[in-house]
Parts: sequence; C-alpha cells; structure tokens
Amino acid sequence: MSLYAEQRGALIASYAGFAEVMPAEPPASAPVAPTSAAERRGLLRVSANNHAAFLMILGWGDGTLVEEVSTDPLLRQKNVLVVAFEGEQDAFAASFRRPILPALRGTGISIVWIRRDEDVGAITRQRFGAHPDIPQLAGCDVVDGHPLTVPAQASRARWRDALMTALSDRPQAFGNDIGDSFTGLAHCAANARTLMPAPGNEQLRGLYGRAPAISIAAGPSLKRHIPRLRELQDRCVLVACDAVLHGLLAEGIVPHFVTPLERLKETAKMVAEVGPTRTVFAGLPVVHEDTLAPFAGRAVCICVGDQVYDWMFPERRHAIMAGSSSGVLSVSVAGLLTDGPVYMIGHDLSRDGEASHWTGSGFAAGFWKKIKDGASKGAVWQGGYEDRVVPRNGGGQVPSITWWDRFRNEIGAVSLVLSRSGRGVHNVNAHDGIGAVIENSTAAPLPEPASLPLLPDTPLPPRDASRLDQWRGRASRLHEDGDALRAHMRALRADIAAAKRLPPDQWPIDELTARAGITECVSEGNRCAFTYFLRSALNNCLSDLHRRRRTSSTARSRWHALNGIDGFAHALENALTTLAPQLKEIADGAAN
Amino acid sequence: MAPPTDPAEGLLALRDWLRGRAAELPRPAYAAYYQSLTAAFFRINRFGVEDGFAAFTARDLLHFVLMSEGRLTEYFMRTGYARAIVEEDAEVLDLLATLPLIRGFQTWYHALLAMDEAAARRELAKVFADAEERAVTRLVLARRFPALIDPAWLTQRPTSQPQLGHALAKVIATRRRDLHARLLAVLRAEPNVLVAGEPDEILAPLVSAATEAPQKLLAPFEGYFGDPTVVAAAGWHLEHGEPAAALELVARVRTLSDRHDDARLIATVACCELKRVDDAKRHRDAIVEPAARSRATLALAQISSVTVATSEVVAIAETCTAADPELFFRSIRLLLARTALGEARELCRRREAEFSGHAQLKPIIDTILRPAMARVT
Repeated sequence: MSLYAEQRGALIASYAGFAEVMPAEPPASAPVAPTSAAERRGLLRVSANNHAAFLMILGWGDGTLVEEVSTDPLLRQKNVLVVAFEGEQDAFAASFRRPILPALRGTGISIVWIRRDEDVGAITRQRFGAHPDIPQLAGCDVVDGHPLTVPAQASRARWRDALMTALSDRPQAFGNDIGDSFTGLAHCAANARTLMPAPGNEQLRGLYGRAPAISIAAGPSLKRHIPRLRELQDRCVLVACDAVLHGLLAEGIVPHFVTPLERLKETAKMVAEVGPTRTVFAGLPVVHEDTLAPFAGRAVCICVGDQVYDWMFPERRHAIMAGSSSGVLSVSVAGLLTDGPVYMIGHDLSRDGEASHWTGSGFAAGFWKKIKDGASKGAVWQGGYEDRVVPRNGGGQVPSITWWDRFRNEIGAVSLVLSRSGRGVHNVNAHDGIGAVIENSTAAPLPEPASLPLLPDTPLPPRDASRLDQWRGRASRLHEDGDALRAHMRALRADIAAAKRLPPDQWPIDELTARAGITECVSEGNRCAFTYFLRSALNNCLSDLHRRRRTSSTARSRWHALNGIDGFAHALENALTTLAPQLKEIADGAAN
Repeated sequence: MAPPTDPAEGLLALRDWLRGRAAELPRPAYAAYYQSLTAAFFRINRFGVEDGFAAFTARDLLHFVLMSEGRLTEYFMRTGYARAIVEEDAEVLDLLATLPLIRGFQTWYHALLAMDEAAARRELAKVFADAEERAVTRLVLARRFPALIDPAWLTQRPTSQPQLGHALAKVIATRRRDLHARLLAVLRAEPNVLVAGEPDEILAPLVSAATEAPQKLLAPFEGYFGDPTVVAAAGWHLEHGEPAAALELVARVRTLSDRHDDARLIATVACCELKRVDDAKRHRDAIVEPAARSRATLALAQISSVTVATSEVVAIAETCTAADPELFFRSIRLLLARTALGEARELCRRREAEFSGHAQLKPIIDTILRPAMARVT
C-alpha cells in the first residue's frame, strides 16, 4: 500500500468526510506557493512563544505549516484547529504524499473543512458548543497569512470574518457572572410559590394540538401585521415577547402568552399593565418577582437549559432553549405549546430604516436610544450594541447590532430543532423580503384567518403542589450548604498557598483546578444550585487564565494558573460571605 | 490638540483608545477578555475588591473605568495610573495625562521625575503612611538613581503586589551589580517576585553579569527561566572562552523560539572559535533576522575566505543600517584584512556621513580616504 493510500485510509477511518476531499489516487501537486522556513517561523512566532492553549490556522496551504507545528515541543501541546477551505482539496490531498500523519500523532491538531456557508456555524457549534470548550478562545492565536491555492485564498477571504464573528459570540454563552447567577437563583426562590406548582414543559407540550402559533417580536415591521394579527388572535396561539405586550393590548390584541426573560427589576415595567386579561406568564423563573406579580397567578413554569432549573426541578424533562432575549424565548415557547406551524413576525433583528423597534414597544425603544445615545457620548461601554452587518431577506446586507445577530443565530438554532422534528417554522419577514435572514426557517405569509377555525377553549393543566414541597426541603438547607462551600474554598486557598512553596513544576495545578469546581461538600439536593453558582464564575476565571497565559515563561504560565484558582476561590469565599444573609432568607422563606 | 477638560470628553478619548487596542488580539480572544472583565467587574461591585487588583494590568483597570459608568471611576483611574507607572506603560500614562480626574496624582509623579538626586534622597527619607505609595516612590526613584537603592526595599513592599518587587528587581538586575547576591537571595526566598513579570527579564541580566558559571546561579531557579536566560548563559560561556559549553546550551533553543536567531548567532561564533566551518555555516544559514545573519557571516568570514566571499562582506557593509555602525565597522576591518582596499574605500566614501559618530570607525575612514591612500589604490 502506498504512503498516500495508507494516510488516506487512516484519515477516512477517523472521519468519513475526508473521503470527499481525498481521491483514491493522489492528485498532481496543486498550484500553491511553497512556504519557506523563514515565513513559517514568522507566521508561527507569536503562538510558538506563549503558553495560551489554542491556535487556529486558517488554510491548509502546502501543509508545511502544520508539519512545523507538529515538530515544535510547545505547539504540539496546544489545541490546534486547522481550517481547510473549499478550493484546496487537491493541495490537501497532494501533501499526503509526504508522511504527515505520523508527525500529527500525539498532538492536539485537528482538521476541519469550510466548504459552504453552513460549515461556519457547524464548526462553531460543534467545537465550542459546551461551556468548558469556550474559555480557550480567550488565548487564541490566528494564523492566516500563508499562501493558499487561488480558489482557497478567495474562500478564506469570504469565510474568515464570518468565522471570527461566530467565535467572538461564543463567550456570551457562558451565561452570567456569579453575581448575576445568584440573582437568578434568588429570583427563582422568590417566584417558587407561584411557579413551582404551575404546569411545566411536560404538561404544556402540544397543549394546543396542531393549531398554528405566532411568535411576536418588537421589530418595526410588526406594524404592518397589526390588522391581520387582530383577526388571528382567536385562531392562532399568540406568544409575545415582553416588549410588545402593552402595545398589543393598546391595539386590542391580547396575546395568550408573554415571555419575560431578564432578571432586571426595571424590565418589570414592560408587563406592569397586563391587567386581568387572558395573557399568561410564560417567561423564565429567574425574572424579578415584580415581573411575575402583575399576572396574578396566571403562569406556567417554563424550564430551560441552565442548571438552576435542575435545582428547581431535579426530575425535569423537555427543557427548551431560552436564548438571550424575550423574542427568542417566544419562538421556543410557541414551538412547545403547539404541534402545528410556528409563524414569526417582528423578528427584524436589523434596522431597515432609522427605526429600531415597533412604535408599540416604547420601553425597548427607549432603552435602545439610551444605550446608543450614551455610547455616542462616550460614557457608556457599548457591550453588544456595536454595529454589525448581516444577510438581508431578499438578498444583500442589512445593518444590525451584535446582540440582534446573536438572537438571529439563536432563533436559527431553535428553528433547526423544530424543523428536524417535522415542524414548519415560517419567517413572515422572509416572505416580505425585509429584515435579517433567520437560518432554518422558511418564507411564508401569515395564514388567512378564514382558513382557520377558532381555537377551542383550552384551560391550563392543573397545578401540582408537591413540586413546591420538594423544593422547600432542598432550599431550607441552602444556608448551611453555603457555609460548607465557603469552608471548602478557604481550605483550597490554604493548599494553594502551601503548593506555592514548591518549585513550579511540582505545583498540582490539575488537582487544585478540579477541586475549584467541586460541590461535594454541599447537600445533594442543593448541589445543582451551587454548581450553577460556580459555573459561570469558573468559566470566566478560566477564560481570564487562558488570556494571561500568553507568556513565554512556563513558570509564569503555571503561576498564573495557580493564582487564577486562588483568585477564583477568594472571589467565591467573598461572595458566599456577602450572600450569607440572603441564603438564610431564602432558607427561612422556603421553610415557612 | 488641547487636552479635554470635561470628564465625559476624557472618557470618550479613553473609550476610543481602548477600542483601538481591541485589534491587538484576535477577535474571539478580545470578546472573551471583555466577557471575563465584565464578570470581574460585576463580582467586584457586588462582593468587594479581591486582593487589590493584583491580577489586573493598567489596561484592564481602564476598562473598568468605562464599565463603571461614573461609579468608582476615580478609584480605578488612579489605581490604573499607579499600575502603568510600575509597568512603564508610557502609552497609558500619556493617555491618562489628558484626563482631569487624575491631575493631582500626575503632578505627584511628574514631581518625582523632576527631582535631582539630593531631592530624591530627601523624598526617600520621608515617612510614608501608605505602603503602596512608598513602594511606587522607591521604584520611580530607583529607576532614575539606581545608586540610591537600599536592598532592604526588596522585602519592604505590599505583599499583594509582587509586580512592584519584580519591577524593582529588574532595576537591580540591570543596574546594580553589587546587589546581585542580595537579589538572588530574595528571589530564592520569594519566587512570587520572579514570576510576577517575565522571569527572564531578571534572570538573563543576572546571568550576563555573573562572576561564576551561570549554571550554578541558575540551579535554584530550574523551571523558572526560558530561552532568553539560556541564550544569556550561552553568551556568558562564549565570552569566557568556553565555546563548547555555549554550543551545548543553545542546542536547547527551539527553531520557533523568539531567541532562535540569537542562539544561532552564538552557535555560529562558537563553531568558528572551534574551527568547525561547516557547522558554523549551517548555524549561520538558519538565521533569519538580517543583522544577526550579517554578524554571523562576518564571524564566519574571519575564519574562511572560501565560505564567505569578499563580495558578501561588501554587501553587508552596503546594506547595514546607520543605526548599526558596529556592523559597518567590522565589515570594513575585514575588508582591510583581506586587502580589499578599493572596496573599503568606496564604501567609506559613500557612507562616511552616516557613521561619522563611531569613535573607532572615524580614524579608519579618515585614513582610507586620505589622498595618499587613494593614490596607492
């Protein structure tokens, strides 16, 4: 068997997709300029002289860059993602006439392909889908200056920015910092009496049979649908984001459900005037209690992916995707409540003209204006409100912002899940040729009212008090568990101080890191609560660590690791001390 | 441009500057950086300060200034300014100098920079209520007047800020050879100081100035030092007539190391001293950086006129920059040694003005260009 055939076989055995880019016989050498040793050194210099864990090489080129990486003792240890592009299949295959695979064994090098638009999202989701995968991005180096074949050069120019943008959005998936996560936990506790006995996802799934659902968001295009929405409001299940509730009510449209999501007390204003309508709270249990109160007990208990819900509902099933906005959640909830098609309106996620929001969503529009005006005056950091350009329905591009682009991708992911189970997800904006493209949805107008029957009277499933009782048993131990975790962190810090007296190569970094995430000292029922409390903090701490490890000194890199864990343990100890009264309050409240 | 007087205007300048810095990292790395800073900021706001911001750089603290939207701004700005002094981050110091909020702090710093030695002595004799102010004052004045450094300062500093110790240790390592033994004793007892910055910034100059074999000095620091210190140790052996030991050390330096070219230059010179021409050429050929490669070529040319032709030496003298007169000087000397007087004279005639400040070169140029010499050729 030839060397090429042997390596081809091994690659295909590792991932069948390699068969697509490696013909049975090696192609003639592809027209790609060879990279000299000096050029390779120049390209890899930064990454080869720091201890950050992650390197991305954009383009296979002649393959020598990857070979160079595999021979360097420091780079060999890194997680190296090589992105090969459409147009360099021959160059890729041809390089395996040389013995490349043996050098790659035992390294952290992996190869992925971008050959079409959707590959960018797939790589991002698959490689950086889970929380522990994300922190390494903080220390990434990107090498993209090496020559590729002419078509691959064009592919790299086309997809590089999309890949960087998608990866830039991943840290947002950490969730919230420890301060905010605790806020969520405290809010869940405050809302427990109303929400714990309320019907949950498992009782709500398909509640309305095959009736269509409409997810209503706050984009300016909503205006054109108001008359039709008024006609459809008793024939479709209306699930509105919080920002449009008051505006819809003023237009004589009463949504069946509304989906608040933010923890901020201030956002309670968006639902304050819901009054004694039919509208039911279908938001997240982590919202402020003032957001839930106006519904006077009309609520369902929506369970999503965060671990705080494992604490609330240890037996939970059917978690849905929350996303980062009330609009995204409204799509998920709409998909949960019916087995029929889901229509999306007002999901512009872009500015076609000057307007950012529908006129009926005054609070959201005002908040937007405050941020954008404040940013222009320079006093406020523009986290997430930076301008961005995204694909427009009907072709071309449309101005958007970072947050909206993230929502766009999140709805795309929800749509993918729904459409894979045979559900129709229709973006009405796509039919009208306006707003941002939402992947995995189809273009369709709102249904004709006359074509649909009136919705049957559908009462909510009965409440179940036993879930509240079970939660009370767990929550009443929250205070003492907080003390135990604080003691654990204090002991960890003492051991870190002892470890620092040893030479750097003897510091037990892995063991100490593992102990930082441990919640064994906490009672079993509350472990999820504290894991949730720790999770974001630990991920952010690791992210910080990956950044600081951009040093050429091995000892300094290890020192950063040790200090990072120490800083984390200190932060947690601080936090638990500050939170002790609140933990006690929750425990006492749960017991009563 | 006049400095802003309105704090909001100053913050705008700060925001724009920090945005410009975002491009220094790959975008995903910057997004993660921003995310972790936001988390730290929320944490600090809610649960209190952790360890005096020891882990944060001046630039991190400036991000906090923007995130705080008016709250804690002055505190972060002042802490950031102090950190910039320690880090010698001139760009941050210049930027903050335009902001009205830290004027008083800036006046204090500028006063330290303007002091003469007698005033510095008086300042150092003062009793400081604040340990950080004392340590930063000592550092600033130590950088200006190394002779005033008291070795006791090495241990008298806020323990939560090992960066201050590292910065002072750097000054001692590079400018107070007489205190090296004391410094080494402190570093052995408190390796935290060594790793609070790049350890090689301290260990490499200590090695270069060592009076005994570097291996002995470095033995307690195994695991702490990297290529810059290894290269410094190799350089020490070369200077002390031990080319074989130098070669052994530079063999540890990786091809992709930042110090690879320096290591290969040492290896070339060491091989020349050992009369191993082929090995010297191999090392020379691996050098990328032009000045280092030229130096290696000249070393090789001295032992082999076959390996390095006179035309190669002429090319070095023609292309070396005015900032590197030593290279020109050595090329001319070599040409003269090879009796290539015509080439040497032509080069001197063309580049005389660029190198007129070089003390050893000037008499040679004068001699070569004298009419009598010109006639001989």
